[in-house]
Amino acid sequence: MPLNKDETAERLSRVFRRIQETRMHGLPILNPNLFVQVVDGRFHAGDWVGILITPWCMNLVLIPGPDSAHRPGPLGTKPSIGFPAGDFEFLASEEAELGPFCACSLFSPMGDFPDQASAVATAETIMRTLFVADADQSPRTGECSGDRLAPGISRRQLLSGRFRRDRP
Amino acid sequence: MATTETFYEVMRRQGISRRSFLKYCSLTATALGLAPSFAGTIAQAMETKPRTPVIWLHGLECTCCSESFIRSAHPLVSDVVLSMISLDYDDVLMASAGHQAEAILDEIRLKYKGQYILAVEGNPPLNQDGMSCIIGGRPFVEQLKEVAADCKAVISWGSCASWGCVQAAHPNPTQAVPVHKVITDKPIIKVPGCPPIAEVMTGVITYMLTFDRLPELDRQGRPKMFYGQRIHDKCYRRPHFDAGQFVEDWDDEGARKGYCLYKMGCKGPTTYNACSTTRWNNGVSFPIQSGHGCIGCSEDGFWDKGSFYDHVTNTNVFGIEANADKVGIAAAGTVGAAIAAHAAASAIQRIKQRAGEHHEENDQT
Repeated sequence: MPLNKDETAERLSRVFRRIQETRMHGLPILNPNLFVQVVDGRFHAGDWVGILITPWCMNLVLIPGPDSAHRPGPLGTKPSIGFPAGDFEFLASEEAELGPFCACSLFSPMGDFPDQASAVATAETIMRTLFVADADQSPRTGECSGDRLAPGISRRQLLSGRFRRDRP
Repeated sequence: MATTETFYEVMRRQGISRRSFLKYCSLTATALGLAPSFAGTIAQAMETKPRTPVIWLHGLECTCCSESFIRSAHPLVSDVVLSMISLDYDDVLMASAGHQAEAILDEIRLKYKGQYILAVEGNPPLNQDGMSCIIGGRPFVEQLKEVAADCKAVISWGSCASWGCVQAAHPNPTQAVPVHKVITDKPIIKVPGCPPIAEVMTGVITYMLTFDRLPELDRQGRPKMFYGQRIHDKCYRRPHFDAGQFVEDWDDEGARKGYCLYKMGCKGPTTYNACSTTRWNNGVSFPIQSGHGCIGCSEDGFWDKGSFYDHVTNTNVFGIEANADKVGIAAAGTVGAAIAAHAAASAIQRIKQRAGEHHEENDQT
């Protein structure tokens, strides 16, 4: 079943509100000025992407769609996921109501955010930046931008002749 | 330059084959987070650049930095790096001893004046005129100052040289101080940790030798490519932290399931190091993976921050890079778009960190 944008955001914040009230209750690492909120949820290549703000962390979250290329592996594995601004390393995670999803830590703990508005403004800026192509794509910073950086061919490609077919 | 021998020639003389040399170059490019095409750049630099000598001094320390260094994951890396650096002067690794060794020190200082790199393991005690650490019949602090006077740059190995570590913990009876309190007129690169990770040590030194400049440093003088992120940011147990699943007691059900160790005192949320990405012992594991919290050994004054088993309450989000963000938010009182932009940019920079490093403004060595 395809994801619904707003329903997914609502489900994500519901799950983490419950975590705040139960498992995280009373911990000193919580910032009392913040509450659980999902910012700028949208679709990216069939997956739901948004920023989750909680009193203990701010994560970029990816919830895979039904035909996703980013099925998270076992808990704690680190898939690399591409955005227009570059590649980011995520951590595979799982929660009963959400199923498997990926999260990339932006801030944690959250002690320095004075209020919810500043956290939301920061999250909105990050989301905007993520979907703008990185102007500074010099060879040293983009290790995945394909053939420009990989002049060599692998032994397998050589022996199978595949490199001749793959070349544009 | 007093010699025309290049790094490559030294390696060949040490019996390292051309094939191994090229393999080393690509391993180094990977370790430094550079694109694969940089292997060629490194190879070319090592073939053409004259070898830079490294003097390795030991003050008050336990030699754990040396022990870590000589166990670099890939045997080739330690062979190569040791062939580049160790033969000049190192109390632990050199073959010579006594007056002969001290004579080598003087010789390098004269012959390579302003050209060599000084690596310091441990720190100088200043009480009683430095009598708590004597090298060759004289206080270590004197040797340190003399050798530093003619060096190009200083590497502070480990938490001792970078922050002071256990000998500088309260009440610090010998008045041990980190290297930057004694040497103030040279670029200093801090590589903290007790000990630092072997791959971080070889990575830093190879970067400096091949590119002939310092890697990009943070405000505390640590190389950003290895100390740009907290253990917490990349910890494989992080999903359990986010989900509020904690180990409550050693050997409880949570411990068996590999839950987050925050409640058991893990200092991962406040510690900048590469343990959760590079790991230890050939990438096999790191403390949290073995079931114990991080003790924060690469942070300033970690001995004086209370028990290893008290959980972190003093939290600092933006950390070392964030003084600007912090001051900005506090001073503005309201939400400025510029402040959000700054915090956002530093977060994106942080999560992209490993993709590549170094900027031109750091060409200062």
